[in-house]
Formats: sequence, C-alpha cells, structure tokens
Amino acid sequence: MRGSDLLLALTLGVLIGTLAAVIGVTVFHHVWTRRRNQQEAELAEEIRPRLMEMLLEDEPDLSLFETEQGLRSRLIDDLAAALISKLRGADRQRLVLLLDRRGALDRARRRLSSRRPSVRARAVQLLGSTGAPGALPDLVSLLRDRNRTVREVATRSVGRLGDPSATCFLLALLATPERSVPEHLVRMALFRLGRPAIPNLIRELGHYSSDVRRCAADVLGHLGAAEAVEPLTKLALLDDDVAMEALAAIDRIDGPTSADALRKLNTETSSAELRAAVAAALERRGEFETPESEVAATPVERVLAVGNG
Amino acid sequence: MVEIIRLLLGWFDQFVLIYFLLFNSIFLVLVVAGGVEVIRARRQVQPISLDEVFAYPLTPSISVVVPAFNEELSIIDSVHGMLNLRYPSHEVIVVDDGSTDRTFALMDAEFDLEPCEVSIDESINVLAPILGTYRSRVDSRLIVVRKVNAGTRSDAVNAALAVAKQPLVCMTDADSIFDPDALLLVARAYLRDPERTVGVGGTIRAVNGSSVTRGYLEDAKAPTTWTARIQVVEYLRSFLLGRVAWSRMKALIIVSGAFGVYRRELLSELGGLDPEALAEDAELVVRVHKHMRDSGREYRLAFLPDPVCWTEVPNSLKQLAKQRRRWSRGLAEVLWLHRRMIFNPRYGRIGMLALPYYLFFELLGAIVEFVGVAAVLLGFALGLVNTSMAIIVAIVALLYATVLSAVTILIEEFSYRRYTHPRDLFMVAIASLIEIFGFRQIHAYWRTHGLISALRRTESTWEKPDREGFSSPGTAARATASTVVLDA
Repeated sequence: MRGSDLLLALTLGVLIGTLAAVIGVTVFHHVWTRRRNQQEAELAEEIRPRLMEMLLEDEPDLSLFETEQGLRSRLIDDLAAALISKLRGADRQRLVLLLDRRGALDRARRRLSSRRPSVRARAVQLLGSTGAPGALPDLVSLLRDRNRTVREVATRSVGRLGDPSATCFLLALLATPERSVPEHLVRMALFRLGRPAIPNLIRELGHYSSDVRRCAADVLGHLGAAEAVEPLTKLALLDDDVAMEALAAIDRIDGPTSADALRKLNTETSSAELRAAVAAALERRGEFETPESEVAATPVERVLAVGNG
Repeated sequence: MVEIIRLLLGWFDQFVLIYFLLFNSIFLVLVVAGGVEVIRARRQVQPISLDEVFAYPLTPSISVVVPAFNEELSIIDSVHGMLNLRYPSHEVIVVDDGSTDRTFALMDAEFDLEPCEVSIDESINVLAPILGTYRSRVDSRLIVVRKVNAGTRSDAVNAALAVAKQPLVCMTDADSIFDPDALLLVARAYLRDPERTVGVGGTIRAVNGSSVTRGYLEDAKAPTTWTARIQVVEYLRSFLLGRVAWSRMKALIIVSGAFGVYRRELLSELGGLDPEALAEDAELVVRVHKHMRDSGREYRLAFLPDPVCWTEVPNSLKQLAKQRRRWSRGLAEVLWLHRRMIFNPRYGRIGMLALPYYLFFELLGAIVEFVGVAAVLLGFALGLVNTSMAIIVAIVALLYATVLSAVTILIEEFSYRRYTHPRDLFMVAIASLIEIFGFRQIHAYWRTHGLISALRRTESTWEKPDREGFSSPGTAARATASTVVLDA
C-alpha cells in the first residue's frame, strides 16, 4: 500500500468513526434527555403540591423536606427558589426558612468564593432572590468581581435584597471612568430598592461624579419622590452638568410642589435651553402658552414637543 | 496534448481537494465555536430577567417594520403576531408596497384603518411615492403605509423607516412570526451595552410544518417537504452557529432582513437601506461597519441565538433556485460595492477576515464546486481520471461535509432542542445527507448562475417568492384565527 493510499484510508476511518460517534452521542443525548425531563416532570408534579400545602398549613413540618436526596433534593431547592420570586410576605419567608433549613443558603454563601464564575453567579442569584439576612456585605464585595456576569448578577441581587443602605454601593459603580456594570442595571437595582431608598438618593445628589448625580436624579423622578423636588430644583439651577436631568425628574413628579418648582425654574434660570424645556413641561401641564417667536428659537426637542402637543 | 490536459486536470483536482478541505475545516471551526458559545450562553445566569426588561421604564420602544407585497395569505396572522409580542412599548408599521391582491383590504377589514397624518423623516431615501398613511382604530399601535411599488423590498422598508418614531427599529417580513419574547431578548442586549450596541440580529428558523395560531407558533415541527427540511440544516449551520461565531469574533457582516434590530438614529444617518441592493440586509451591515469605523466610533453589532424569527422558506426547488440566485447575486454586488474594504486593515476583522472569507468561500466557492464537478466529469470522459482514486477522494470530501452537518444537529440537540419529536430529528438528519449528496451540487449551479448574472449586470428586480402562508387561502380570506398547519 502506498503512502497516499494509507493516508486516504486513515482519513476515511477517522471520518467514519467521527460520524458514528457524533450520531451515537446525538441519539443517546436525545433519549437520555427525554427520559430525564420526563422523570423531572413527574417528580415536580409530586413535589409542587407538597410545597403549596406547606405554605397553607399553620404550623408546617419543614423536616419532611430535609431528608430528601439526589434529584429529588435538587428539585425541591429549584422549585422553592422559583416560587420565592413570585411570592411576598409570610409565604416567601416560609420558603426562605425551608431553603435555610435544607442548607441551601449556607451552600450558596460558601459558593460565593468558588473559582467558577457560573457557580458564583448562581449563588449570588439565590442569595439575592431569597433576600438572605446578612447577605449584603457579601454581595457588595462581588459588585467588583473579576467576571462581568457575576458583577451584573450581584448588582441585580443587591437591588432584590431591598436594603436601602445599598444605594451608595450601587451608585458608586457609576463613579469610575471604566464602567464595570451597565448603567441600566444599576438603575434597575435602584428602582427595586424603591421608595425606602429616597433619602439616600437625595444625599447622592451631592456626589462628586456627575454620572452619579444624573442617575440619582433620574431614579428620584421615576420614583415620584415629592420630597426630592427642592434638592432637584437646586440642582437644576446650580449644576449645569445635570440641570436637564434634574428638570426631567421634577417634571415626572406629580403634584403642586413640582409645578411650583417648574415655575420657579422658569423665572430664575439664566439658561435658554433649560427655560425652553421648562416652558414645554409647563405647557404639557396646561399652564403655559408659548409665544410664536419663542417656539422658533427653541431647540429641536422643544419644537417636537410642541408639534406632538 | 493529452498529457498537458492530464497535468492541468491533476493540478486542478488537487486545488479543488485542498480548497474543500480548507473550506470545510474553516466551517467546522465556525460551527464548533458557535456551538460552544450557544451552549455557554444557554447555561449562563442572566443578570436581567425578561420580566425586569418588561417592567423597566427605560426599556427602549421599538418600531416593528413589515414590508408587504401581495401577502394576503399571511398578513393578518403576521400582524396579529407582531402586535401580540410581549413588549412594553412597540408599534407595528406595515407597508403595503403596491399590492395587487387583497393585502390592504384584509387589513382594513380586520383592523379598521383610518387615514392619519404622520411626519416623514426626509433623510431616509424613499424612491416610490407614498400614497397614504393609516392608523388602526382597533389598535392604535398599528400604522399602515401605502406606497407605489419600486421593485425592491428595501424601498418598502425605507418608507416604514421614514415613518418610524421609536429609538429602535426591528425589520422583518410579512411571512415571519417571532417567538413571544423575541423583542425583550433583543432589548436586553441593548440594555446591557447601551452605549455601543447599534444593531442586533436574531436567529431565523423555518416555520414550514409548524402549527401557527393567530401569529403564534404553537408547536415547532420539521417541515414536510425535503426541500424545506434541507434548509432547516442549512439555517442551523449557517444562520445560527456560523453567525454566532462571526459575532463572537466581532466580524458579523450578515444580519438577516427577516430579523434585524437597529438604532433608528443610525439608520437616519445612513439614509436607510440601499434602495437598489438585492442583498439589502448584508449591504446595510457592511455599510454600518464602514460608517462606524470611518467615523472612529466604538460600536457593537451582535447576533443573538435566543430570539427566534420563524419564517416561511421555499417549499419547491424552483422557488429555492430563485432565492439562491438572488442571494448569490446580492452578495456579489455587496462585495463589489464595498471592494475597497476587502483586505483593508483600516476595517479590522471585517476587512481582513470576514469580507475575504465571503469573497473566496461563499461567493467563489460556488464556481470552484461547479467547475470541480465538471472537471471530474471531463476527466472521466477523456479517460484521464483514476476511477477508484476519484471515488475515494469524493467519499472523503462528502464524508467531511456529513460530519459537519452531524455536528450541527448535535449542537442543536445539546442547546435548543426545538424539535422535540424524535421523528423530526431523524428527518432533519436524513435531509442533511440529501443536502450533501445532490442538493449541494445543484446549489452550486444556482449560485454560479447568480454570480454570472451579477457580472453581466443584467437588470435585476426583487421577485417575491410564492407563499403558502400560515393558513389555507380560504382561511386567510376570512381572516379567521384558526389553528392551521403549514404546507401540510
């Protein structure tokens, strides 16, 4: 047999072997996955009603779930974690207690220092969704994790903990020139903290970073924080970098305080751009008739706003 | 003389063999890299849930743009599907591109249209006149634009772009439907990288054979015709795994016209789609790369494997031939139009990697394949070919391609498992064999034909392929919402 014939025969053998292996793995995976999915579905059908019953009982016996092993054990944790995000109040607390008794939360805390980013991210996610007590310092430290996904999941989880003291840690992510977490994720987390975070957000309006001030103003506006109107008005008058965002935030806040603030801005600001935007905001509230000459002189946004009105 | 021909044929045979080993090896690397990326992405914890994207007040609004020319069979289902997408704020702009059937009448009957005034973005290049704009009384998110047909799909899309007002624009077709969360998945990509992301493409899959109810895919099944089944394998290999790999390498140059989402501001800067391009989707992506690099702006053009657009693929070889000739010609035109970018280091991986690959393997590959088969036949006719050797070489080349298709199906099985019925998986596997032993050679002929028509610069118009629609003609005419099975 010549060398080239041998090479061809070898190539042929390798290709046929590879093809057989690929087909074999595909068929095996298909059959195995079908069986596993079926098994999981059957087990879930059995476990889910037991979990629901546990939530309905006055004094449930949590130890019933503690002796489970293997796939059944993993499914209990998964189903409980999935239910947690849909529940509030006592039901939620009961599921957190169940996961705690089963050791799932301790396992998650240990896994925060795992070398594998996917393991760290899952642990962060579980601690965030359960609002695990005392988890804030651990999660805050992971806001600077070396892996992007872990940082992002940690940001979301810090918001889910609902602890307003996390406000400054979240906003600090925007203070560095290299953005380690997308701004939208920080905003989402701040929205999640909700109204309890308002005092801290107002304090952050004085932050040295204009990105932080801008974000705090925006979130205050979306939260409809009437108590923030006064500091936002000051910001609009004195801080050129954030004036437009502060105005937009005031505009989003309903009520007489924000209307007064807009009127004050209209008379006190020296910026033509800001005054035009204030006029548009007042006009949307039906309080201002713009003279034709002023419409022509305003920027594009102003003209569009008048056109849409 | 015979000796010279023998020598030339020998050299050519070696060139063809090396070329195909190289092409299949590159593609195998792309498929495996794409597969690894897809499986990794599937297992990754998502930092933003889709519910959060939905509830977030700053999620960007989207204009869904649907050009429609004689789409009476699918337009009602398609528009319902687009309007029913789970998204906090989106509008649907349908362009009736001079339809001669009942496309507009059916929409009017179903959505109760009334004339309305809309402002037109003059920076978008629209060739044919816009006849009127209408808004639905049933659902104010639906706008219909009627215009004169200019012979190209891109002109219809441009008319919609000129009317679109939202910060993001999603381009699609009237014979396509999206997974319910498709727009949320795209928006999540924008939210995760808002400063740089200028465009996002999604996966295209064949809807033929699947059950569709009122624009909603009930059950994904493999198509019932072999022509469509072959395309399932092709779409998985090239439109899913190949594009994921190119996107990972930051060298994506094709985003399908059936599912591409771009910043409206950027499209305005570019003047919209090239109204004369046959492959207007690829041309747009290459132009985006050129524009962003020329202006020195940081940007990201990504391909996402998760959001899926289900589109009707040709069921007959005749229709498929038309489509593939058009694609080949379109690609040739794009590469010619942007020839200065090829091997130009100024355009980074696009100029040095992606465009040369498309030139040498996707475009000229058809000629090599076609001429290669012809050369072997000539060799046989002249008695110059060692028969046993030729057969073994052919088997090796075809087996290699078979392994490539098998790996593609394996990755689908490990990642999305859209086809859960074992029979579907089996049929797709058989189709992958048919693709290699016969279809591929015919395909090479069609592509060569398309390339020749591009070289001859014969007049080209976009011909709408015959559709079977999401429903039978009678059902569409009544615009009912019954569950039907495509091409069954």
